Amino acid sequence: MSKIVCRVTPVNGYDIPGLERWLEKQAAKGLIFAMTVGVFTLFERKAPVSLRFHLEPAPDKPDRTDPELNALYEEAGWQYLGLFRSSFAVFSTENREAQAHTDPEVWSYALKRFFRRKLLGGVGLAILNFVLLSFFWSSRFDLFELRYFWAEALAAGFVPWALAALGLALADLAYLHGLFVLWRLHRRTKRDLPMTPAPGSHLSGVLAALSAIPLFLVAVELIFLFATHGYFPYDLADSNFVTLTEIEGEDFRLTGDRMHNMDYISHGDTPLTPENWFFQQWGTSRVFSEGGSLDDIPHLEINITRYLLPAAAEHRVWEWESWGRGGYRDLESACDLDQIRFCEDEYLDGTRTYYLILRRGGAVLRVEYQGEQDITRFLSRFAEMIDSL
Amino acid sequence: MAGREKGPLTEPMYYVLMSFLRRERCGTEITEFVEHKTGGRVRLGPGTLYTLLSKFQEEKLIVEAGVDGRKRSYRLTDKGRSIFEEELARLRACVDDGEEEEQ
Repeated sequence: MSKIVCRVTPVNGYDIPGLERWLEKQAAKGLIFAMTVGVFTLFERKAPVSLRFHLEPAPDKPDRTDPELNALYEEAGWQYLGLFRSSFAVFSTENREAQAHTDPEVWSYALKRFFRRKLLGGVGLAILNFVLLSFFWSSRFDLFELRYFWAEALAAGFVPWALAALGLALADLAYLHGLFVLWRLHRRTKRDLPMTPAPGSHLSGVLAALSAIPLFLVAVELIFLFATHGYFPYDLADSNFVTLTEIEGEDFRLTGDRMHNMDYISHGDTPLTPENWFFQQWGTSRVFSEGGSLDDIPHLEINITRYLLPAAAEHRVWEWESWGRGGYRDLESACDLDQIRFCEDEYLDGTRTYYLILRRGGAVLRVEYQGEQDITRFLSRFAEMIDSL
Repeated sequence: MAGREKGPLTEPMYYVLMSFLRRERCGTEITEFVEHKTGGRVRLGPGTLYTLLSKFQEEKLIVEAGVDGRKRSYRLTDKGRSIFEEELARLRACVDDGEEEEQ
């Protein structure tokens, strides 16, 4: 049997009487407080014992133990067990009558000082809120986009933003309730009333514990992004992508502008955002050096997104169709594709742009092509591309 | 002085300040002094003593005089002595008033 037992802390992290009672109950079951890791409390399994606990608001540098604090407690018959979330030093004693604080005014002062420190800590939490939400924010996350173009929002990284917002909201609520708990405790101590667990302490403890789940996922996403940028381009030569040269023939001249004549495949992938690919090639034109409209320049643009759920990919097909002036039609089923949608759009000057949207399972591919060739002839090649991703 | 505006010193505060009148002391010595001086009437919990030492330091009533292992010694400042004497005078006045009325 493991000697270390892990439990989610079921009460608010600032509810001193609530925490003390919980630790006493655990000790009676043979679980002696050892340390905390985030929302978890670790216990050492020993023989059941009746202990009295006291959580002393930690000194100014709560990341370390103050030797003087421990010495004073030990001389009074208490045993130091560890730090509780860098907030409290945890002491226990077998003497049920022992009292850590014998002057309500001094205890009230200690609580007030701790409350102020935690209030200042709220500034840090507010900064974390701002930084995390800004980092993952995209202008696409408005109500209209989320209602009608949610698959695109998913591809733009909505999930990490939503998880960050959810986790922070839960953590903020638990923190605000914690401040209330401290304030209440301070008031009760000042009036010499008995210390009792705060109302709602279990609920905010649960909220704090739940906040850890989305915030953990967001942390994984952040670490991944900082380590890899979530961007993994690879050479066009190593890919199976259809090129403009393949469609137009070897004599077709591509622009020298590297941004519009990619010799690589842009490829993004993170744990919480659908994997996506982008590739484009344009014909030569003075526009790239002298400026002007790109409207009548032959080109090929390929966008691919691979979703976890086929339903999201199916919706993305609908969203991509909504971009243009409509006129999409189904092509005859081929190459084991779930959807093949095609659209031919003619402009006033006679230039034509062709749009082809293919879907297989959760992978959806959109081709935009302007040129003289029949893009549907390359249907099997595009299907191969999806296979080779 | 912060805290003083709210009224007189509590007994533990008074006796902790008193313990420094003759010499500097560490936490254990303060506890022993208060226990001995009051015959166990005033109890000084470790949390109370620790908070008081920190509070008095912040208010510059005492200063750290030395460190010996885990123990820190403190001594009274002029400000601390003045606060103690002020409180002593107040208590004397209280006793005098009480005795005067009793006669």
